[in-house]
Amino acid sequence: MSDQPIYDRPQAQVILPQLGRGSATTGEGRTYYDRPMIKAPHWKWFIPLYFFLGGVAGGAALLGSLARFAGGERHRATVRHARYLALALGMVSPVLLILDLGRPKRFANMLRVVKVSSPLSLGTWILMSFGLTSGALAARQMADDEVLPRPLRLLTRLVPERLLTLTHGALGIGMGGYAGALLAATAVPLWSAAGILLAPLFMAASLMSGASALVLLGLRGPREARRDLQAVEMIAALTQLGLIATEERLTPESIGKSLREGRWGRVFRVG
Amino acid sequence: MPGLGTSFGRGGATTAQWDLVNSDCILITGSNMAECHPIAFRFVMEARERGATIIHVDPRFTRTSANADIFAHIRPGTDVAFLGGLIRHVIEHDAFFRDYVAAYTNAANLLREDFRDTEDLGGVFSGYDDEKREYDTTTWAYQLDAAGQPMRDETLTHERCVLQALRRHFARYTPEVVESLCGMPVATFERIAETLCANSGRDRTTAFCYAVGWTQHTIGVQNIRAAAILQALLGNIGRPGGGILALRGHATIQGSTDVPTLYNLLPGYLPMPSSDQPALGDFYREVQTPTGWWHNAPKYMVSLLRAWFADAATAENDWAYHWLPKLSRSEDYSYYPMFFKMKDGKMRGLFVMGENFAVGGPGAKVERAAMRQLDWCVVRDPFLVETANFWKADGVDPATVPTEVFYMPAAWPPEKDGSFTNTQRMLQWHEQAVEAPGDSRSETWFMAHLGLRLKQLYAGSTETRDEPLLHLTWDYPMRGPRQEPDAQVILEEINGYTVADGKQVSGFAELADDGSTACGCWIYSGVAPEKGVNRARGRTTDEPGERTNHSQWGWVWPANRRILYNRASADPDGQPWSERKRLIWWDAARKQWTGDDVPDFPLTKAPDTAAQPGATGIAAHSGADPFIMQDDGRAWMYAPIRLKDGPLPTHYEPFESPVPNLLYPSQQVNPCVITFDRDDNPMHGMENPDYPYVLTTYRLTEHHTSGAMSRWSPWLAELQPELFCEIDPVLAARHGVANGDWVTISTARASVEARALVTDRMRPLRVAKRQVHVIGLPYHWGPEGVVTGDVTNDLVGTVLDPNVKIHEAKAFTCALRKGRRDRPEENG
Amino acid sequence: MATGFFTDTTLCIGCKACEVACKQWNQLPAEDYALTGMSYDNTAGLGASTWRHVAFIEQFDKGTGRYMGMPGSQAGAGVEAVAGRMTEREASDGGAVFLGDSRWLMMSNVCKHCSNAGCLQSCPTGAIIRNEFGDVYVQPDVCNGCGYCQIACPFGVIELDHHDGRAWKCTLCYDRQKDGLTPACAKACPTQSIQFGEVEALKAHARDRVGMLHARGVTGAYLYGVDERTSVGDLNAFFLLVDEPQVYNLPERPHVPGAQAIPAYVAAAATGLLLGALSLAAIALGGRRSTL
Ligand SMILES: Nc1nc2c(c(=O)[nH]1)N[C@H]1C(S)=C(S)[C@@H](COP(=O)(O)OP(=O)(O)OC[C@H]3O[C@@H](n4cnc5c(=O)[nH]c(N)nc54)[C@H](O)[C@@H]3O)O[C@H]1N2
Ligand SMILES: Nc1nc2c(c(=O)[nH]1)N[C@H]1C(S)=C(S)[C@@H](COP(=O)(O)OP(=O)(O)OC[C@H]3O[C@@H](n4cnc5c(=O)[nH]c(N)nc54)[C@H](O)[C@@H]3O)O[C@H]1N2
Ligand code: SF4
Ligand code: SF4
Ligand code: SF4
Ligand code: SF4
Ligand code: SF4
Ligand SMILES: [Mo]
Repeated sequence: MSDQPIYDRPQAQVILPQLGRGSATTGEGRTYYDRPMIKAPHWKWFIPLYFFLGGVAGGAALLGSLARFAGGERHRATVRHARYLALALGMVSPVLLILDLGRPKRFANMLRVVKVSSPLSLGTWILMSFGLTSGALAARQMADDEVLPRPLRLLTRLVPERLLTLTHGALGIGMGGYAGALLAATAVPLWSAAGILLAPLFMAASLMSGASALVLLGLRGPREARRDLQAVEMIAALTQLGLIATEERLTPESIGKSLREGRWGRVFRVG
Repeated sequence: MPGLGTSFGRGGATTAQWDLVNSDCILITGSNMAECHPIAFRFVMEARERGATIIHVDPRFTRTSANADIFAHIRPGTDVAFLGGLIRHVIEHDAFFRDYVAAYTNAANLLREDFRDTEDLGGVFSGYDDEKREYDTTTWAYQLDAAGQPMRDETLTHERCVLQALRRHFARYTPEVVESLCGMPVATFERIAETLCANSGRDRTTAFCYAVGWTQHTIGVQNIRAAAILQALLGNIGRPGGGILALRGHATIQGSTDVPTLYNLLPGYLPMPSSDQPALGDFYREVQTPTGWWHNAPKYMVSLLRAWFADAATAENDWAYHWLPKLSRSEDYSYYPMFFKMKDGKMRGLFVMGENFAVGGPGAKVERAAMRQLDWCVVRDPFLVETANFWKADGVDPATVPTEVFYMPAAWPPEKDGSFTNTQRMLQWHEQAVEAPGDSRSETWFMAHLGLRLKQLYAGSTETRDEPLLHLTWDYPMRGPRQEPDAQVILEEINGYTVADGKQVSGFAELADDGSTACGCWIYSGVAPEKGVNRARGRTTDEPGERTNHSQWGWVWPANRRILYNRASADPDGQPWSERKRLIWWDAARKQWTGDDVPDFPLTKAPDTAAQPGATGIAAHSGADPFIMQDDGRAWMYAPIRLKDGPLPTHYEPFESPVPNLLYPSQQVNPCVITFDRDDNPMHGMENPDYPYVLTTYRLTEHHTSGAMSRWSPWLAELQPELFCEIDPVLAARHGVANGDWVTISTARASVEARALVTDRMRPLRVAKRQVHVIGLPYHWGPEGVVTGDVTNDLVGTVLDPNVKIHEAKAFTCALRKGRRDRPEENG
Repeated sequence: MATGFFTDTTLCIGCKACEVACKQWNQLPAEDYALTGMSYDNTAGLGASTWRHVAFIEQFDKGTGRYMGMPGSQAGAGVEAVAGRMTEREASDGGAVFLGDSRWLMMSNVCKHCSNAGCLQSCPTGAIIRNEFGDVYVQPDVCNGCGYCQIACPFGVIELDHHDGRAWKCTLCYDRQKDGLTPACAKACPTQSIQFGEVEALKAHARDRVGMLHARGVTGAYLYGVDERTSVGDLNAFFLLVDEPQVYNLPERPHVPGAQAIPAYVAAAATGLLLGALSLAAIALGGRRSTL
């Protein structure tokens, strides 16, 4: 028992927990024995990883769709990579999400309701739809790549490829952006202070990482395709920089601190 | 209890908690009422909401202080100085309630010419025997006239009258003296004094609440006496919103003295006979006063003996008085001497029922060691408490302990029928809700069956010494498969009945000394006025209204009177002192007392009834003498008899004190204090440089006494998980102690370790021109339970008040150092 | 018609009966057994297994002039603990820094049952509902422990229980209310510091109470969570406080995080479309460039 933390009177002013202090919701000043006013997220590494992989998948899907319609022959590999990547990550993501649940067996309860006020609800629906479209498109891709047995290949002809690709691209935007909305709509001061900038930031990051992933996958493909994707990377990166600059100017000093320091700060920068 | 009993006639609290809402001012001191009596404290809160001023005086700023309007720190053990200062203030400012004082107290009585005060004799009264440390109280008596009646000066000016004696006795207790003894600033003291005076008198009343912060001192009884004098002077006894509320401890601690578990009492405050009273007549000579209520003592004694021995108690055999055990005057059977006897091998067996003194008993270390000298020991408790585990405590090898221990699991109150008698003398019945698990049994089951088995064991014996056991009536009807005695029947026996037809008596007025009635405890007479009726079951409250006494909620002894001495709420003519403070008054048309409570007075005795000198019982009182238990019908501000250590309270230092007695330099401590000069009981004495700090011990809301009932409960344990001490920031700085650090607190008896709570609620006190630090230490922890800790009570030494033999756990001295008990100092 | 609590901190005696009654009724476990050093508070805050929590704030800061008035006292002038000479003398010999206007605040905290509840809005499973008593209730048979509510509560109330995997908070004794009983905490409170009832009636009473306290000189008294026009709306469980909200670990101006959701969606979608368009351009233009 002797090792328990003790509220230390003389040093009370100095202790600064990473999260939730001096928040925008509370303004300046000390809280009760310097304890955070709000609760920290319970997430360990599943959710940050999920955000990251989901972002990559979303970015890749969006780019894949764009390439499907505008990329021509040069981007055939890009489309293929994007579809397979979306499938792979679209399968890993829900697993991560489920693993993070306190009651994983009750994941399906997420599908009881559609709730606009809950980015997690919407996000789950997006993730589910994204998974389905990814699956269908990947199947179609496999058929085209002739890795499926013949009868199944015929079956995939039924997939409305163009419509699905369009939808997949739109869902990719959802995948990329909703994590930002999810964080923005919390009481965690850093995130909520970043406000509506956070979602665009995640969106841009998603696109950038999606493009990077496709570049990596396309290393053996045509150089031109890579150059296009690198251009996209550039655009996304510049957007991010701009957003971050704005955000830092908008965020009060006290909150910004944890943006640069601490665990979540790191996650943020990796993103 | 002798404090209140001597002053007013009965030892019980003079009022009830809910009446506090009628107070204009409430002085709480010697109690941490909000923490220790939170339910009763709701009435204090309500009084505050109605406009009353709440004052708290305590060595610590507590949860009670937090809700008070005025708070003052006081050095532990200096309450007589504080109260004496108030008495002086009231007299010097002529702020006493003159009409009340003149009519209802002994203020006018003249003292003998040869009486000498402590002011004359340097700290002792006349009659003190230095050798025996006892008083011969002859000179304390009143001057008597030719008829043997006390002489009085109704003008209260005669220099030998009690009021003038009080004035002289407390003359030196000025605000400045109070400040230098108690550490209470003059301005704060004066503010309190003025507030009390402004809220007392015809139209306003002030109540006092105290508990063990006043009693656990070598001058414990005199603390209460000082409060009694003050309340009598202010005219606050027997009136709504007034009184002295003694806040009792355990749920039925009042009950445990009414139907006593004490060695020196029989039920209903009849004393235990002693060996120099071989015959009933000898006993009466001491107990039966010629005047006042105790003239009735034989009725209660005979009825008690008839209840116990039935037909074997006859007029011829003095109602079997010879079968009662007798105390020896030369032996001390009280609690602490018992342990020393035990330790010295003079006691062989012990029953412990519902006590955990291995932790809760001051001087616990000695007590645990004493138990290890026993041959056998029975512990009846719902938990396997420390007291049942003494044989493996303190690092001793159990193989070396000869004691055979019988642990008998006890049933909790919800597992048995029975009653609690609470602070306000109220019996409340509780019914069994569930069957006690396993071998757990109620007290009544255990005692009833033990009695039956003993009777069986001795059946047929012809030894004289076995007669009492064999003749004891022990015919309780048993119920159910477990053969549980019927508690209602026990209550009916306590209430009393006429022997011939077995009909219940309706109250103690029906009890007789001719053997026609039997009664287990006369003061409870009326609780079961008919067979099957149990007024302790009453659960009807009054509608919220101007005045409520909830007369149908439970049942209060005596005779369901809620506010004692309530005749004093009316003036001598029988009319209320004021409309606002109306309670009982004389209804001339109906020729009887009437009002909002059961009159504590003969119902039809008119206010103008003259006293009959020479008459017996309360016929000797006039119709304006409210204190019917007293032989003179008055409140005693001066106590000519009954107290061992003086007729008036006097400031003495605690036995262990960091300062000398400023008022009486040649008399440091209570001259009659009981000490035990033993190797296992070393004391620090006065100004001991090794033990410079004052230590006081107390309770927290979150735990109960020894912790037996709280330390095992996770919900309570998490709220106060570790033994801590409360120290002021200056002391903390001196020892380099930060909040939460471990410290070790030591006395010559033991050392304990505790976490330090450094708090502004404690403050260094300026006493006798020096800084005195008070350390606060709760005493709820022990070696077993969900949370554990050192035993605070190992620190306490044994030194006792001469009247009731209570310990001094509220004010003694100690040393403090940083670091844990066993470990080397952390910081050099 | 909604039910709720009016917790009047000027009537609290810090007995923690509410905290224990809640744990007992709801059979919540004790957390841990360690002294915190935070005055008499050893449970530190609300959480998965502490649904009522009593805070203790020792205010003995002499000279700040900030802490005027005992809660509920007549004079409203603070505890007259040390007047005049003692204080001066102590100050002059550099000894104790002490008392003055001093007080020890106690406050029993609980879930606010917000009108616009962050937890409810954020819950993706619909486990959190507004029940027939108008209170915010977590259905334990639905909650899947996603933990989103935990960071959506602007008061730091609801929390995942790591042993059990679900989110927990005060139910406003839904089960007791259904049986017509008063919630356990309010029932146990000896001084009516916790008053349970119909919210509008409680509010009316509470406004009167503030007026009464002001008349008595306790000018610092105010209602927290009523008539404050924050995005969380009025609180079904509101408080009478005598110091700033932060002192009790309450946000000064709470806002409901869910309000950010729609703007965030729009921003994300807009960015997505914009970047999508740019990317489309990059890909399409890249294609043209390479064919040139
Ligand atoms: N929660 C809870 N309630 C209880 C109990 C419990 O253990 N826990 N125990 C019950 C029992 S058995 C009893 S007897 C009562 C006791 O009830 P209280 O007497 O109220 O309890 P204590 O805490 O022992 O002491 C009261 C106060 O006396 C102060 N004090 C110490 N020395 C002095 C002094 O010299 N003068 C003055 N004026 N004050 C002094 C202490 O600082 C403390 O605040 O409580 C009963 N109620
Ligand atoms: N230092 C210091 N020491 C003190 C005091 C102090 O202020 N300071 N205060 C003193 C006072 S006032 C008191 S009252 C004592 C209290 O000291 P104790 O009486 O020794 O302590 P408790 O823990 O109250 O012990 C009561 C026991 O009764 C058991 N019990 C409860 N209900 C029942 C029942 O129905 N039947 C049976 N058979 N057992 C039952 C409980 O489990 C518990 O073990 O402590 C005294 N000691
Ligand atoms: S524990 Fe019992 S006696 Fe003590 S305050 Fe609570 S209800 Fe009253
Ligand atoms: S948002 Fe927080 S305070 Fe409001 S109802 Fe939900 S848990 Fe309670
Ligand atoms: S943890 Fe349970 S209650 Fe909270 S948001 Fe998730 S599903 Fe809803
Ligand atoms: S209403 Fe019920 S669940 Fe909520 S804090 Fe009170 S006792 Fe606990
Ligand atoms: S029960 Fe009432 S008085 Fe006691 S701590 Fe809780 S709110 Fe305060
Ligand atoms: Mo006690």
